[in-house]
Amino acid sequence: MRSHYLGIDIGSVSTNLVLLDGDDPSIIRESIYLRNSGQPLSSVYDAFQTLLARGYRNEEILAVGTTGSARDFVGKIIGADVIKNEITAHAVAAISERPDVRTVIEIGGQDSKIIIIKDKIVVDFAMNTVCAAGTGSFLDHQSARLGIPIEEFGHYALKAESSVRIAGRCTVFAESDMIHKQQKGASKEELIAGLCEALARNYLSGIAKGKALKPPILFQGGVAHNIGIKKALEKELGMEMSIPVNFPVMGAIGAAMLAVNPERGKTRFAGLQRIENLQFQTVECSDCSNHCELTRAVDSSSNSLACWGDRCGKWQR
Amino acid sequence: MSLDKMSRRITFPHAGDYHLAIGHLFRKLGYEVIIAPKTSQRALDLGEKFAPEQACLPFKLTLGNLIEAIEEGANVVAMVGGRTGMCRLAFYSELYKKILTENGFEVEFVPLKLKKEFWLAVKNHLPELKPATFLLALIEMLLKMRGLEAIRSGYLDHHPREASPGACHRLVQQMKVELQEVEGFWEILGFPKKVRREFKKIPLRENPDLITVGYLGEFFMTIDQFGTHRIEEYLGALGVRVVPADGFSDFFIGSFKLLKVFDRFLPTHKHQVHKLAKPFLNLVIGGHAVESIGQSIWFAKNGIDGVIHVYPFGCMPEIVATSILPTVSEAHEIPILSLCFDEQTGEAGIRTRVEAFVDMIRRKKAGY
Repeated sequence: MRSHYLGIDIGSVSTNLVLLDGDDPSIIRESIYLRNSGQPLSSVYDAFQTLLARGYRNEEILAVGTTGSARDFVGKIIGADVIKNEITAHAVAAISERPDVRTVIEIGGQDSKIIIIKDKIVVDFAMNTVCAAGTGSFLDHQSARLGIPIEEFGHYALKAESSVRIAGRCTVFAESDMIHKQQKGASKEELIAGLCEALARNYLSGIAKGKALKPPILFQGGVAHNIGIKKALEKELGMEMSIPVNFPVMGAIGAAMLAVNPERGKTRFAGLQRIENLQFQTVECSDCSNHCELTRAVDSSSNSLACWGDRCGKWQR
Repeated sequence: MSLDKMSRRITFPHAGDYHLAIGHLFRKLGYEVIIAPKTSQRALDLGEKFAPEQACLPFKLTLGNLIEAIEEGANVVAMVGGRTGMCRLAFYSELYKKILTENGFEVEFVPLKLKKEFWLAVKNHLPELKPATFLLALIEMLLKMRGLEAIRSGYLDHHPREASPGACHRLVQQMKVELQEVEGFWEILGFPKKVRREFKKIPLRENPDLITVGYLGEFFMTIDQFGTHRIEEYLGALGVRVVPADGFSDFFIGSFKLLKVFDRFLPTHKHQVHKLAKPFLNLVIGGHAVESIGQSIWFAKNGIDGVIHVYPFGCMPEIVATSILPTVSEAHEIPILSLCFDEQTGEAGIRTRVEAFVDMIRRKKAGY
């Protein structure tokens, strides 16, 4: 019987799902990239529906890993075996893609990160803290404002013969500056080229500050789709970067790989079907003076699926 | 006079659970003590409302504590400060006074420090107070601080290895109640030993993935659980043994000038830490910058796997330390994660970074 490892990356903008082959986890059998419109759970179920329609069955899933900002929430409800942060997941996927990788640049919907790797081991990392300037959400917003589909956004930058300088520290002011430059007669192409350069500068001076970036560099995450940002980053770095074939779903691949563990018994996975009438109950635990507020997810026949919110951890096991 | 004494209700800002010790001091001196409600979102909201926007998170939290305590009837505030070598904390007492007065809260201030001014202020309130009672109360406070630190390190040590989840948590609750109630010099003196004994009784499990992380940074943030989103508990749940930097009692003891004489023969921990920091920062710039650097090196030299450094947004000394720590990390081969907190900091972001940091250390150790 064929078998698979399931990896799900539930981010701020998209939900990505991959199925790795159960016998050889380096083979990707399925890869789904969905925009989640702020509904992580229903987007996961939508992706499950696609898998069911393509003929996959519950028994074929050996183990499940989740990552991304909604990893805990979704992971607990669907019964994930491994719930891991995005940094570890991206690093694992990058190392399997290219074992000699030294630097991973990942720019997603609201996060951007840098991971420094030495001999297949993560030695340092950084993630944007108080500012999300230069991430996918902003590019999304600007492409809508300029009336250019996000898929073609990067190509516009390449068409420009010159670029205008955009103030890129704060995205709100970047937008003001773009409007200003537009009013001075800059073309769309020049504006986009300028924007890409500003975002690349912002990334390198903010997140990658003080870190020695050594080749080979992998560029992944949804923004890697934007060829304009790639070129701008390469120009600033003075180095080539490579983009993995499965760049938008690298987090999901990493999550699935982390779920691979031959010693694991049966998976905790609840199955691909949608859990009907999922409800959340809030109860107060009165076992100690902390009085933690517990949230319990229950299905239509009031079976408790998951519980979280306790400080001591006893309800979560 | 006795009427005057009755009408004085003293309070002080929270700093971790140290109210258990400081409250004891004032009760022993003869004050009626009002402990501010546990730091909560409401305290933070109040602090944010009345504090300058640029003030650090500790200032906002403690101002909120004071306002909540005043609402409950406190009319005297005891606060540290006014010492050189500190950070902006030196002005906080004055700033509280100004903000509280301007907003119509009427309070008197007592300078809480191991100096003559403290004795004089207290003596002014309580004319019948004897120097011996005063000294004994101070010593008992110091011992209660030791008790509190024993509870904390017992918890941090056992929590990641407890066999049944929640056992350490319950013991901590129970021990804090006992610490609050314990009376008598000898009982208080023996309390830390009792705490250690109780923690030894907790059944442990094998945890092959156990790693040890040093926890340091700006002092208030390292002991405050609310502002850092209970990072200590989270680390314990991840299977990480946390080793904290110096506690309050160490600072109190360290502030005795007399001890400096002994540093040459029997150096205090603080002295060692300062010496270790010298190649990187050869100047006391206030706050705990030197300690953050020196302590990180101390952790590296004592077999600790990594260091988590926490500080509030806008904290000058720690910002200096943050820019030096990467060099320390490289020179002493110890991973260091710096985390900055303000009232806007989201819990999810902190947890992601901490989890990734722990993974990094574990994978490095396992070599895969």
